[in-house]
Amino acid sequence: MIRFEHLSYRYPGADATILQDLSFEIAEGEFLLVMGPSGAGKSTLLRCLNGLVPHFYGGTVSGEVLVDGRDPVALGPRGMADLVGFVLQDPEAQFVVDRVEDELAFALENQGLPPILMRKRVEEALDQINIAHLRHRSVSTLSGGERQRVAIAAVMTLQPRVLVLDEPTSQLDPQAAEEVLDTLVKLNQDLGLTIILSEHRLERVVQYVDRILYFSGNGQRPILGEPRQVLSQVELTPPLITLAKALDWSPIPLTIKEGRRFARKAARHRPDGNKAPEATPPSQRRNDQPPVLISVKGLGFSYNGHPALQDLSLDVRRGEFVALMGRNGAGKTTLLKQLVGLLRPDQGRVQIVAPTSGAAMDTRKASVEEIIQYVGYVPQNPNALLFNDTVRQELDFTRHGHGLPPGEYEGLLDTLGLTEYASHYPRDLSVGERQRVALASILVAEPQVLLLDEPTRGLDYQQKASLVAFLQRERARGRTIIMATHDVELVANCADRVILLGDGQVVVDGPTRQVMSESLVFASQINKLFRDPALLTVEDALSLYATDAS
Amino acid sequence: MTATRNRLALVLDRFPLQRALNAAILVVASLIGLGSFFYPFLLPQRSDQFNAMAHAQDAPLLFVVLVVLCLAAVLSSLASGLMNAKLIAVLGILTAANAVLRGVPGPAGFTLIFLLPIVCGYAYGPTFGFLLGVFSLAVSAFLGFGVGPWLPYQMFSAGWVGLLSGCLPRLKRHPRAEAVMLAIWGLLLGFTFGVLMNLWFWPYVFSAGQSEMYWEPGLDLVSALQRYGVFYTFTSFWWDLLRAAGNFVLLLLFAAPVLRLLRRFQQRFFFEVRAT
Repeated sequence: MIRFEHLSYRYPGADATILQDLSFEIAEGEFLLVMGPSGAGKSTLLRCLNGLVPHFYGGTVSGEVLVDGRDPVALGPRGMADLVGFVLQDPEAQFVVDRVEDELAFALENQGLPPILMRKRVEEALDQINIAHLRHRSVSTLSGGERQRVAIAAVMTLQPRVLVLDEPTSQLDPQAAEEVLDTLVKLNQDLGLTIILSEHRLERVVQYVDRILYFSGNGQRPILGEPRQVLSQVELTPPLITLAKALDWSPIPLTIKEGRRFARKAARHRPDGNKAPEATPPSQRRNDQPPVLISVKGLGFSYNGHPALQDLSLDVRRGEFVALMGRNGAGKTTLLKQLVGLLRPDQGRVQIVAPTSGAAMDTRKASVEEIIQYVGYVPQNPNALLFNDTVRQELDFTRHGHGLPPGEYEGLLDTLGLTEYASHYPRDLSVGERQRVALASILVAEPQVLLLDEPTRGLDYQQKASLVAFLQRERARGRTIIMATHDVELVANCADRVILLGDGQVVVDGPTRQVMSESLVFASQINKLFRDPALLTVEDALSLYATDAS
Repeated sequence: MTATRNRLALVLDRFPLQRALNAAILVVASLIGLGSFFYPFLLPQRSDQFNAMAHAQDAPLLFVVLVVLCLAAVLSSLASGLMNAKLIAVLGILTAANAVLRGVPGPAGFTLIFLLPIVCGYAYGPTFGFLLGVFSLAVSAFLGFGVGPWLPYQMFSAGWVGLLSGCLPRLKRHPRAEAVMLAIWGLLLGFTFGVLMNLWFWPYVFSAGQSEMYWEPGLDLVSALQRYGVFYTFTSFWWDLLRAAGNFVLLLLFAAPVLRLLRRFQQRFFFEVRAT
């Protein structure tokens, strides 16, 4: 169905080829996962399939791609549209019109199909993706998962034989991601559609895919094979598989169900003397509590009459690492924006306490300039922060804006893996890289409180681990971190307090271990595997079950 | 042996005819433009038309001919691969932006409308510059800046601004010198535009009391130039001075960042296929 023959590609102005002499074949009806470190060329590879590379991006190509006998380099995206459906990383970037039904008809209109046929195709697509109930809705009112499914339906109207998706679930909460993946599995099984998707959070998808294409970047040959075979060879794996490899479970379990068998056996042969980690770390003891830095009382806020936050109260103390979790639209981002003064309370108040002087600022009165002396906010979309010509200029700009002297930030760049991109144009970087540049451009001002909105979007496991290490180091230096995220594994690894929001209210607020072990949706893989509230992360499980050979 | 083939180069080898056609269209359009500016000087008698009605008869025709020729230039550039859908989209957006920039108020002749044609012509070549100049004047006229017999002449003049900017030497490696060159160029063009634009009506106006600054049929070249010099100094010079100074300052400030932006886009217009 799809054949790559010695394909190489270099972006315009880039020093190195990002795709180097690729040759492989993908069979019809295959469900293929493309994985690898951020910036390795996953998105680039996907874009070759419909001609966006090189037609949109320019650059230099050699070799050949054939999709069902057609050459995307010769035909361009227009000539491939009826064969290859492409869903971008950010579904909003793909929407043209406002109403769901119109959006579905848009591509058909461009193909000049007769109205009767268009009508039929739109109906079919609505049914295939199971979104008929959304047909009259306005795109802007849909949730993240619904949007992503509308984007899929919109490309399905052209009845493509290949569906390509670039990180389709990276912005979605666990339930919404599940919806989208269910849809894909159904399309693959019912229609025999060839599906190629890239993804970082493998724990969601490995059980569904037929084969994995692993990209390590740096011009190394990619690995293509059965999931178990590829996963046993690579470093970047989800917690379940990391644990399985560490404990020599074979064959490697891909699902919790497969893993349970091993977990039960391991529990029976648990080595004596290994103690489960304590449910609450000793630093959390009641008597020596650090001062409150952020205090929210009875906070209410609505967007044009739609309530987003209602009567919300919480205190955050110095040095805490808080994870805000909850469904898409639960109010996580709104709350973060309230804390940095980008939004102001309708009811109640938000107070920021200056750590040095102890003076309290009320966000209803203080200006954003005053607040950002203490609070740094990294928004969900890193592009919002990036407007200078090089990464270095971004950092200088922040320091200048805060009235700080031009500082030493080589260490920061190095920790975030950005040294080699220091003089690149920020918007040309991959999503994961841009996320880190945005983080660096805020951290360079040394804020006391760091607010992060979905910081792991587009990051691979290794970068996630280094981000976790980095954040923990920052916290150890006394920084307070509040992070909104859907990433259960990330929370299990680094947060010490979880606040679960629902409909703009605090539903649960407590230590991570307690909250996670009481929830099914927001539980980590290891937690689900052992059904043990004491175990959240791979390290927890290893400390308990690793049989010391020595 | 790997043969490197730039897609552009490929196109140029493959379609020498279309490329020649493309150049021919621009030449024909420019000749028609020049002809329409200067033919009144060859008329045996001054037209009896009232001053403000200069070219009232031929301007609509000229407008149509110019627009048709520009569309032909777009189509032939498309056919020859010098332009593609992406470049047309960029042309459209820049035209719209430039038309709106004309509305930015300033003293006397000061206007923002030459910034983009000069920089884009320089970065993307004479054809693009010519089209951007012509189209943005036309669009802005319909946006409320006045449609009249002067319009085709403004379009030609602005088109030439872009066209000539495309013929400047490339100084890509010296960004500072580049900005200074463009600023001086903008200064010169500010005056040239004024000198040329006056000609669309100059041969049609006459005031018996001030005959030393107006055209009369049968004048020889030297005395015609003298008279025009007087006319220019008394009427249009101060107006043009502000425009030229404005161009100079604007280009000095904005040429470098706009060029950086345009060149980042330019990288994406075409791609290269390397044979293995």
